[in-house]
Amino acid sequence: MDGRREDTFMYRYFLFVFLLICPIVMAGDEVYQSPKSFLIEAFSGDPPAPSMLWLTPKLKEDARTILAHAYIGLRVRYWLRGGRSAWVLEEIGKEKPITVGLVVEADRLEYLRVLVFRESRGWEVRHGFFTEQFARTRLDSDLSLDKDIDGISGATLSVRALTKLARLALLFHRQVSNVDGS
Amino acid sequence: MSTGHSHRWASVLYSLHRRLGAIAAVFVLLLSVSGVALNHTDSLALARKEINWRPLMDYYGLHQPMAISYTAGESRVVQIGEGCWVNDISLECQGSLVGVLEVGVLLTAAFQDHILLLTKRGEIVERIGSESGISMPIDGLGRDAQGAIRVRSAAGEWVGDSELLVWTPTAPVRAVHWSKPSSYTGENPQTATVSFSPVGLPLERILLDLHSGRIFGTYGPWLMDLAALMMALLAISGVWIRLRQRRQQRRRRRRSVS
Repeated sequence: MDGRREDTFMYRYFLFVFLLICPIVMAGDEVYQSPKSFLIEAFSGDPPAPSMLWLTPKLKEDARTILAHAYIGLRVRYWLRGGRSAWVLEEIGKEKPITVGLVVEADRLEYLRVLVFRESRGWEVRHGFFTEQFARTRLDSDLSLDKDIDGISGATLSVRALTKLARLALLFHRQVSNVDGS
Repeated sequence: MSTGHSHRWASVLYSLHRRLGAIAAVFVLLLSVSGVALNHTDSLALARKEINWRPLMDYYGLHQPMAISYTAGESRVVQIGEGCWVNDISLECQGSLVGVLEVGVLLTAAFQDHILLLTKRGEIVERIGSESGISMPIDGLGRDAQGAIRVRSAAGEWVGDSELLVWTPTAPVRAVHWSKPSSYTGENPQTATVSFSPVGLPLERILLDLHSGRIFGTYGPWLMDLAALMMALLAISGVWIRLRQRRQQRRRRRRSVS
């Protein structure tokens, strides 16, 4: 191979590396599904108007038990129709909040979705093989899930954050379904 | 394998080895220098050395904070970096503050990618995000002639109900009083001391991020995996070339003896 061809190869290589690095450097928040689209999907294309759950002292205390810190906020927005509720909640994995959409029906978690992931690691929790473990889980009397959730090595804090949010959504749903009477 | 075929293979391999060597050189230098330094973290006191180089600080998102202040009724909300003060009571906040309005006994503080409903003592009542239907980023918060709260973004305007629970898309109108920033002189010494103190990046963190490739973002470690693969290929092609050369030398020596 002559020198000129080799030079062309090197120019192409550096262009390739440049193009490879550009998107890497610019990578930021990963939006897997917008909250709006999650709600549309949760209620088969027709989400109800939002409702508000005000946190009572007891509910705040239970939320603190689950999160291991106080819940940020005095009220929580939710969407409820026919005993099925949807929640968009956030919890910090390591440094940044993970936004998760959760659907609860008959005191069981139907499913959860990672909507926005902002951390630099632990994104594996968005995959179906992990989130499917939460399907049909319930809240025990001690506010833990009735089923063990297998972790993912290297994503321990994200797994912990998602588990906390699953418990929180089940706790909140219990509250609103009691009020709703469904 | 015929001699011609073998020569062609050797030529390809030599060429590949030379190119891989040039390509991998950058990564070898990067990994070896950062690796040696990280092996002596304690003796070099890397964790205690801070780098304040502005472009690097900007890249890590550590900008020199600027104070943004809004006044609503008797209350004032100040943002400096990721810290906010509601009537001098601190709370964490993210994104740029774009407006503050008083709504009854509460305050509405709009940031680029969410709205905080706050008490005047700085307690967060609710964090309203894109699940409300508002398209982010928000660039304005105002009150219309009917007293309703309006939010503006590049995608349009939304009007909130009395509880700020339901946000409805609405046509822009002229008679809206948009919240505007007020001057802030940093009279609260606690605010000024906490927020303006210079923060550097530990050298250890930079070297760790360089060594793992994380400095290049989410896919940086994959880039380093690619570099490792290149080095493995270099090792294999290097050994193969050396063995081939020795075989040729032996052949030449045998020919010269005979």
